[in-house]
Amino acid sequence: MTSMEKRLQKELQAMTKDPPAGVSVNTNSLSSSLSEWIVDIEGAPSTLYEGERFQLGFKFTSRYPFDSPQVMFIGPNIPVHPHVYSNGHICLSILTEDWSPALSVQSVCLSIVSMLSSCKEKKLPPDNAIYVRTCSKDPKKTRWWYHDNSV
Amino acid sequence: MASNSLSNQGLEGIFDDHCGSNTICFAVKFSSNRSYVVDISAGDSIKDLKAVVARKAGLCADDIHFVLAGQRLQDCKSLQSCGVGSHTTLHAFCRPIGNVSKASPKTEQDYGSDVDHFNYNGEEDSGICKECICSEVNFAEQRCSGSRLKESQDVEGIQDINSYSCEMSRPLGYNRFFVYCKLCDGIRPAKLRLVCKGCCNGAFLVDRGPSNWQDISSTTSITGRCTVEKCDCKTPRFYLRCFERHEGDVDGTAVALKHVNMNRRRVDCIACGDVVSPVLIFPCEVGHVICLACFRQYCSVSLNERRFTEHERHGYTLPCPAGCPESYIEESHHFLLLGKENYERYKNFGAEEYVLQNGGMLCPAPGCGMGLFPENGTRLIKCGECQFESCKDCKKEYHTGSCHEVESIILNGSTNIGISDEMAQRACWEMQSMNLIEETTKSCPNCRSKTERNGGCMHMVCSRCECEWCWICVKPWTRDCMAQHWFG
Ligand SMILES: [Zn+2]
Ligand SMILES: [Zn+2]
Ligand SMILES: [Zn+2]
Ligand SMILES: [Zn+2]
Ligand SMILES: [Zn+2]
Ligand SMILES: [Zn+2]
Ligand SMILES: [Zn+2]
Ligand SMILES: [Zn+2]
Repeated sequence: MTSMEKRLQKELQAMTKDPPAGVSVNTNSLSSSLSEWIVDIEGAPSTLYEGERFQLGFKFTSRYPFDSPQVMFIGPNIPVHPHVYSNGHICLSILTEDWSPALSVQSVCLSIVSMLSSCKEKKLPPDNAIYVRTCSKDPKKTRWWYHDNSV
Repeated sequence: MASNSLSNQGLEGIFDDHCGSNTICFAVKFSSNRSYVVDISAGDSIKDLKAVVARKAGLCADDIHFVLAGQRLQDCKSLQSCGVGSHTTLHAFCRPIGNVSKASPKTEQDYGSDVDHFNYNGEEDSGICKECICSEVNFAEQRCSGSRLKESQDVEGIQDINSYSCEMSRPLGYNRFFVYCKLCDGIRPAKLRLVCKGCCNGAFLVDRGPSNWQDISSTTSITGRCTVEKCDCKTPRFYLRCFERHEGDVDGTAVALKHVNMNRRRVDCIACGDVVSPVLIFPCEVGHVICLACFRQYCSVSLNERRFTEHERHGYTLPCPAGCPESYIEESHHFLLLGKENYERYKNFGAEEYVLQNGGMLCPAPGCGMGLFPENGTRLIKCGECQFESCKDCKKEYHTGSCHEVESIILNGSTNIGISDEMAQRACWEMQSMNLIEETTKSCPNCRSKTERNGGCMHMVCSRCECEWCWICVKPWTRDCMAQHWFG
């Protein structure tokens, strides 16, 4: 078994056995190689996203965990948020530059939930229109210029 | 009781090929180079051994002293408890007792806790690990049977050596020292040895045991006494040798891997999450642990993406994959774990990086890449390897006139330099691929390395020199670039 398979099996086990609040792996979505996952997340109570459900798509390369996973919102409901483009791409530095193999699917999900929770106003990123027209399909190929995190 | 018979069984099958299970045979070597082979029961005492050796050598038993692990062995101890076994070479010297001052007894605390291995709970008289500071002892064969059993119970359930034993022909106890052995062509546990630095005599008495890597380095602060009468050298020389028995001169065939250790604390690999042993421990504050398989993968991913860094003290190296500060691998020999082919690539990349960081450039002739250091005042650089003449400023074939005018000369193939046919053919092949990749790649304005644009915005970060540049301007990235053409 490769590092990637071993690691993903362990992560999956941990997430199904002891899932963090508002986060659950959609086990029907898993491919046998575990290279693609769908994770259901819920907007946290008493935040702008309370009661909403979203789906995150994860894709892993064979170089995981040295290489970050590709993570984006998928499905019909994409959260309206200043760091989330309407095509599902997420501007979050741990998904590219600040990725570390010490992070995991769980910690990525929790960061995204907390990113949503801290939002004060539902609005699209300022450059959404042009980004969505010009970006690559793979958000990891975007050289992000990270938005001010206080937004 | 049960555990004793278990460990004996294990040892018998492997090592006791010609001696009975309780009899051990080994060599006693005097500094004068006389040596004697002794057959003796493992339960006999050092005093008994003295009698046997005295008879063989025609000496007075009271004048004979044995040295193991830099410590003099005491009469009342049994050979077994001192860790003497078959294949041991026990160093001996002959001196009337009055002339041998007793080494002052040390307690475990005196040896610090840096190197756990030296906190051996063995005889109080030594305080030095009996498992591996042995002059000629193969610890896994004989000495450490007791503690090995303890260890193996300790690591029960750990995949431990199983995944690893294909590389290792023998069972393994807890071992702090690992080397890359050039004779075995792989990582091996190692034995720490010591001799007199002055005369290389193995019967050297040390004042204290080493407690860290500095202590066993060539600038060790550990002192001692040589038992050769005419030698007044006060310094031991420690060295590591491969655990496997190699015939002949093994000097310089094993290099220490200081970051590799047994996974005694059962820490998860940072990448795959498995608990295996041995592991590599990064020198970051928290000591992130990675298994050797994942370390190889981490290195080869990093090598392919040129993510190694030229570090002023540690050379071309990698930090902890979690990005911790001060976490660089401090010894480039660890990259031998990459395997021959990748280690060669590692060395080449490292040499290139060194050249670039020190104001040099790489010969741009296809297939050459020789490191060149331009002289001041001239734009013409001639490669000593392939004779190609290049321009220092644009890193292309040498030309008169400004660099812009000749941008496409090489691509058009109008080269007229004296190179071999084979080289020319290869060059064409390279040029083909150069034409193809030209539209999606541009050269970093700082170091000229080819960078591929993967869509997204125009803000490029060079993976080699980390220069942030603009795809459109091919100049360092500015606020203007952001404002004017962040997107294409
Ligand atoms: Zn020890
Ligand atoms: Zn030993
Ligand atoms: Zn070897
Ligand atoms: Zn000496
Ligand atoms: Zn691993
Ligand atoms: Zn670290
Ligand atoms: Zn050349
Ligand atoms: Zn030029």
